[in-house]
Amino acid sequence: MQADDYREALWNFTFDERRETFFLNQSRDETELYESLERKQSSSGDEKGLPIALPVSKSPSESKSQINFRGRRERNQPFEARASGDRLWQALPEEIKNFLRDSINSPNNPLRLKIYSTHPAVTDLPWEQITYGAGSFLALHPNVRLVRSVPVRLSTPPLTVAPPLRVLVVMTNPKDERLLDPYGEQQAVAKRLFNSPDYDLQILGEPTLEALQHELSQNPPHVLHYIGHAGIRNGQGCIILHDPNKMTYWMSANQLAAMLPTTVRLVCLSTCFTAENYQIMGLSRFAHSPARLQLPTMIANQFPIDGQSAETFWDAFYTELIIWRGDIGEAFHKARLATAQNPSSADWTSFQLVLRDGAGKGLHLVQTQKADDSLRFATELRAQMAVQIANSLAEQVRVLGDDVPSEVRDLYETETARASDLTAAASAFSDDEKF
Amino acid sequence: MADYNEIHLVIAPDIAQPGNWSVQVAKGFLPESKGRHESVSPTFSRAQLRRLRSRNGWANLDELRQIGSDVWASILSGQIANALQTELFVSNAMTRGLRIRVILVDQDNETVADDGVLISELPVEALYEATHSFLATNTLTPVSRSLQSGQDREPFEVPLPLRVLVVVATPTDKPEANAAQELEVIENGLGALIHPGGPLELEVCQPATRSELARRLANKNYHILHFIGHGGFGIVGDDPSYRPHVSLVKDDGTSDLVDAETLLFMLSNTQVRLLVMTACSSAAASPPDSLDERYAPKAFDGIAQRIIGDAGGNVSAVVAMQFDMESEAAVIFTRALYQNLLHQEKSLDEIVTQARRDISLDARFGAGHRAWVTPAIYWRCKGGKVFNLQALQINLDPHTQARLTALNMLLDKYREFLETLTNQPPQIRQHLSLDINNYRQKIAEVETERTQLMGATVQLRGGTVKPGQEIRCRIFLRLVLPSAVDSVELEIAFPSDKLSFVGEETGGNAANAAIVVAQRPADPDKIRVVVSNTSNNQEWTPEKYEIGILKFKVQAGLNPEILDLKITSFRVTRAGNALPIQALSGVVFIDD
Repeated sequence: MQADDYREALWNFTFDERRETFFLNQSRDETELYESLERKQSSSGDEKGLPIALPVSKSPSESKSQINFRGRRERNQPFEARASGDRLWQALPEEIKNFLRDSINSPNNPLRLKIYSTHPAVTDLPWEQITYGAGSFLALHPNVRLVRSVPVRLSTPPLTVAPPLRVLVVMTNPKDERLLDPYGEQQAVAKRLFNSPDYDLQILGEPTLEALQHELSQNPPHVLHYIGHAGIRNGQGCIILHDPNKMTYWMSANQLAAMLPTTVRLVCLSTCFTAENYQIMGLSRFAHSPARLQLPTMIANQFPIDGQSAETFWDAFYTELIIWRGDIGEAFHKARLATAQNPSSADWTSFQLVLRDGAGKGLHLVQTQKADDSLRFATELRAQMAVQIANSLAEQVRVLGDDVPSEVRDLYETETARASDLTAAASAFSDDEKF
Repeated sequence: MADYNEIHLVIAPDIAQPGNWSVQVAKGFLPESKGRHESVSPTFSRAQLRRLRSRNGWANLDELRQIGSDVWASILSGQIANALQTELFVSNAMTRGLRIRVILVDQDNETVADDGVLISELPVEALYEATHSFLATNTLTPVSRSLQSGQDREPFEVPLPLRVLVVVATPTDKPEANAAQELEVIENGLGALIHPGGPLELEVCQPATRSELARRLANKNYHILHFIGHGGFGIVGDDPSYRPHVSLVKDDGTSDLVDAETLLFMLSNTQVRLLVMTACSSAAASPPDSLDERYAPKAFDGIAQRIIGDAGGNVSAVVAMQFDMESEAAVIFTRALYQNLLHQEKSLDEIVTQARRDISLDARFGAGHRAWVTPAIYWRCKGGKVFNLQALQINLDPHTQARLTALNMLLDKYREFLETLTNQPPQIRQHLSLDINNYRQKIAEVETERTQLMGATVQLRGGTVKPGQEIRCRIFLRLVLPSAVDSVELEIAFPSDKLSFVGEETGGNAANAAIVVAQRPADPDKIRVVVSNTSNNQEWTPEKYEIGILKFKVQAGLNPEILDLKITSFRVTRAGNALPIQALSGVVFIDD
C-alpha cells in the first residue's frame, strides 16, 4: 500500500492557557498543519479548533498519578483498555465522532489517523485504546490505521534497499539496573531476524556510547532496535547504555540523533519484559522527542507486555515489513492485528507507531540491484539530507515565528526549494520489477 | 591561575534501592578512584533546603556547616569519600588544585523520602567537611556542575569589548521587583569596566520583550546574556505540561513565559557563549511553602541543563542562581564575575569560586551566609575557558556591525549543515560530496564578504586537505590604509591530536621578512608566530599581502570534519605601536 492510498487526518491537540481548555484541530496532513501554524504565528492566534475535555490533569502532582492510573507498571487487561478507550471516545467532539463514523464506513481507502501534540500530557494518553463506541477498538478496524505523528515540514523520501535489511539490535543490561534475561529478551524480539535471508542481524550487547557510535558508523543499519529500560528526565525520555564501568549511562534522544546515519529509517524501542521497566513511558517520550532532532519513525512500547506478545508482535512485524516492501505503517498494522488475536491480552495496545518522516514509508524494498542503483542511492541520500536541513530550519522558523531573523527565513526558503527539487529527482526513478 | 586535577562524581537515583542515591567516580586523576561506586542514603533534608531558600536568619556559620556536612554525607560515603579525600590529599601534595565536577543525573520519577529532596535540588556548592571546610569557597577546590557530555566546546574568540546584553524582566503579574534597582546592581558591580572604550560593553534590552530580545540578538554580536528576572516551573504557552521557563514581558507588561527550547533557538547562531541567570534581588521571595516549591529551584537548573546539554547549541557555560540573591551580594558577585572574566588565565569555575569567596569575606555576609552558596555553574567548555579575548578594540558602524552579525549567523548555519553531512559514515558521505562542496563554497563566500567588511585584518587561510597529507595555511595581512609594518605576532591554537605543525615559510609578498615559529612542548595545541621586518621598511599600499605560510600535517585516518585554526592573540606593529586591526581565524576542511 502506498502513502497516497490513505485518506489522511491529522489531529493536533493544543491548550489554551487562559481558558484552561484543550482544543482539537483536524488537518488533512502535515503541509496543511504547518501552513496553519505559520498563519497562527502571524495572526491573533485565535484559530483554536474544537474544545475537548481530555482526561488529563494540569497540576504537576496529579500528572504523575495519571500515569500510574493507566497502569504503566502492570500489563493492561482488555477490560481496562476498553474502559480507557471509551473514555477517550466520549471526550471527542460530536463533529469528530461523526467524521470517524463516516470514514470507517466509507468504501474508500483506509483512513490514516495521525495523532499529534507537543504536550506530553496528551501524548501520554493511550490513544491506541480509543474505541468508536461500544468497546470496539478503532485501531483494529480494517479501514483505519491509527498512528502517532511528530510532523515535519517536508516528508523524507524513502531509501530504496534490496534485502537483506540491516538490523542492529542494541541490548542493554547494566549491573546497577533491574537485571534482564538477555537471552529471553533477544529470542522474543529478534526470533524472525536470526534465520531470515531478508535480514542481516547484528547484536550489540552491553554497548557504551562509543561502541554504539562505532557500530553505527562502520556498518550503517536500516533499523535500530533497542531492548531495555527507559527513564524520564526533565520531561524527556531517555534510554540507557553502559558507561565504561558497566553501570547505567542515560542517553537522551538528542545524543542518539547526533550519531544516527541517515540510512536508519526506523528505530524500535522495545521494553524489557524479563524485569520491570524502570520507567516505561520514557520509551514513548523518547519516540515523541521534538521534531527538531530529526529522528526517524519509531515504534515504542507504552505498557508492560509479556514475552509471548513481544514475540508475536515482532515476528509479525519483521515478516510483514518484507511483504509490504518496507512500508512500516502497514507492517505495524498487521503486527498489531496479529498481537490482538489473543483475546485475553491487551498487550497490542502497548505498541505505538510514531511517524516522524511524514509519509511513514522510510524504506522502499526492491528485489534486485539495478544498473542505476548507485545513482538512485546517491540521489535519495542527497534528498534525505536536504530535507533534514530544510526541516531543521522549518522548526526554528516555527518556534520563533515573527522573531526569527530574516537571514534564517531566507535560508529556510532556499533550502526548502533545494530539498523539494532533490526529492522530485529521487522519486523520478522507476520500479519496473515485481517484488 | 591554579593548575587543577579533576574528579567527576555522577549522582543518579539508585534503581535497586529506591530512595538511595547511586554515586560513582566517573573520572579521577588517580586511576584507583575511577569506577568506585556507592549507594548512599541522602541525609540532606527538605527542611534544610527551605532554610537555604529563606533570606532570614543568616549568617549562621554553625547551621551552614551542618547543612554542608549533610550535603557531604548525602553523596560521599565509604569508597567515594575515601576517593575524594585521597585525591584532595595528593593534589595538595602536588601543589595543584582539585576541580570537583558533580554530574546530577536526576529522573522525574525518582523516589524521594517525605522530607527528602530531588537530586537536582541538592546544593552541592555547600559541601563541607571539617578538614577542608567549605570546598566551594576555596579556589583550589572549585565545585561546579556538569552534564554527561564532555568538555567539548572550544573557547570562543572575542575581539574586545566583551558585549553583555542585560535583560531585566519585571512583569507586572509576578512578585514586584524594581528594574532600575536591578540594573543599578549590575552597573555598580561593573563600575569602571564599562566606560566608553572599556573592555566591557553593557547594553540593556528594553523593553524586555521576546521580539526586542530577538531583534537585538539578530543585529549585534553579544557574548554574554545576563538575565535578571523570574524563573519558574509551570505551563508555558499552549503546553499544559510543566516545564522550566524564564519570564520575559509582553507588550502589556504581563509575563511572557519562554521555555528552554525557545531560548535555545533564540541563542542559536548568535555569539552568546555565557548565560547568566539571576532572580530579581529586589523581589520578594516566593513563600517557602508555595505549591510549586519543589519546582521553583529547578527552573534555572532545568534551563541550564537544556541550554548546555544541546548538541547543536553554542552556549558553553551557564551561571545560574539556585536561590534568590541579596542585592549587596549580587553587586559583589557581578563585579567579581566580570572583572575576572577579563583575566584570560582564569577558568570559569575558578572565577565563580573567587566570587563566592568575595561574598564570604565581606563583612555584611561572612562564611556562614547562604549567599555564597547561591550561584551554581554549569560548563562544557574546554578547561573552563569560555572566551579567548583579543586585546584590540575596533569600532564599526551599526550597519556594518549588523551585516557582520548576519554573516556570522549564516556562517554558523552553513557549518552546522556541513557537519550534518560530514558526520555521516563514509559509505554515505561519498554520495554527498556535491553538497559538501556546495556548503564549503558558501562558507568561503561568506568569509570573503566578512573580510571585506572588517577592514584591516590579519587572517589565516586554511583549505581542504586529505588525511595524511600536508596543508599550507597562509597568513594574510589586509590593509585599508597605506602603512609600513614592522612585525606581526600571532598565537594560533589548533587541535594537536589531529594536526601537527611541520614548518613555516615567508609569504610571497614578504620576501625580506623573517618568520619564526615557536611551540612549547608543554602546550602542543599552540604555536607562536613572529613575522619580523614584514614590509621591509616599505610603505605598503592598501592591499592584501601574503606574509607567511604555516605547514601542518593532517593525521592519517581522520574522518572528514572542520578543524579550527584560531588566532588567540595577535599584535601588528609599526615603530613599536600597535596598528588597529582585527583577526580572522581559519579553518581546515578534512576531506575523504
